[in-house]
Amino acid sequence: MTQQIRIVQYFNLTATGGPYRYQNYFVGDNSTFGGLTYGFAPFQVNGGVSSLNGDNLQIQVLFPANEIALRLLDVAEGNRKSLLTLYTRTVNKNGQVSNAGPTEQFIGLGASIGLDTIELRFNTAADSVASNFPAQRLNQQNVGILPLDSALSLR
Amino acid sequence: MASKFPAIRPTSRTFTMGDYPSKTYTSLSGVIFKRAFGNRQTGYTLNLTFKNIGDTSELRSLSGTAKQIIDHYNSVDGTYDKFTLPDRMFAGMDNDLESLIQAPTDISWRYAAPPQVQSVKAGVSTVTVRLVGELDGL
Repeated sequence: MTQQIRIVQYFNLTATGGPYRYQNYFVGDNSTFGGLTYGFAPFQVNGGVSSLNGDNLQIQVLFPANEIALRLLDVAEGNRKSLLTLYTRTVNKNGQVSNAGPTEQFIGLGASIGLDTIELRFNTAADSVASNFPAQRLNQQNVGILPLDSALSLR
Repeated sequence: MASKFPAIRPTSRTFTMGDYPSKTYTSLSGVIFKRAFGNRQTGYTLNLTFKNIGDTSELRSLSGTAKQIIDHYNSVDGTYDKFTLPDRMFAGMDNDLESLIQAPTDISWRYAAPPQVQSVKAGVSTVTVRLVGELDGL
């Protein structure tokens, strides 16, 4: 018995001069999703561990060090000023993309640049709070500079 | 795009089809679960042997030389650059089959490894060439 699945991921990055839209399944082709056109880019998404505590989700999007990845690095200033919406969908044998599937939003955390790859790092903007968190509004006066990750400074 | 591979008829030719990029997970129950990562085949291979060809001068008309192959390897920067395959490489093969192998959709041929030259006797060598057909980075 064999089960098969084909998965496409749509990468919609908002940054200076953007948005920048890519998908990673239809090689060399454009794919229309949600009324928008996504070009092909050979990226893969790693990471994404969800926990019971609701910690924010961190992912890495790995590109070969090609023109697309270099441009994304450039426009997002090292991937520190970007907003990513990532759609994961299944595809059938005829190339039809399902409507339902996970949709996640991330903000840029930075990047790692290697000899032949560029890894863009993202995480979810919101983090969970525990039950012992002060019953106060989350603002700069009580937690300091509002964080982009889970490292809150309680004062 | 670099020049075509030299128009030399190989003495043996082995072709392997490409495949769709996928990964397989086998569960403890034995159920196979496959995930496809793309909609195009890649990883074609073509192994060629040019047996008993001249080192630098052709022993017969259009039999080619080892130097031609080495020169071509150098002209395409070794395994770096892509090139096309001439009809003569598929001598003896049905045209319909040849068209599937010579230029699969979006596939570029490159050297998978440097050519191997085995000396047979003075001025005569056997050259082995391994090519790989892969999807080009876009």
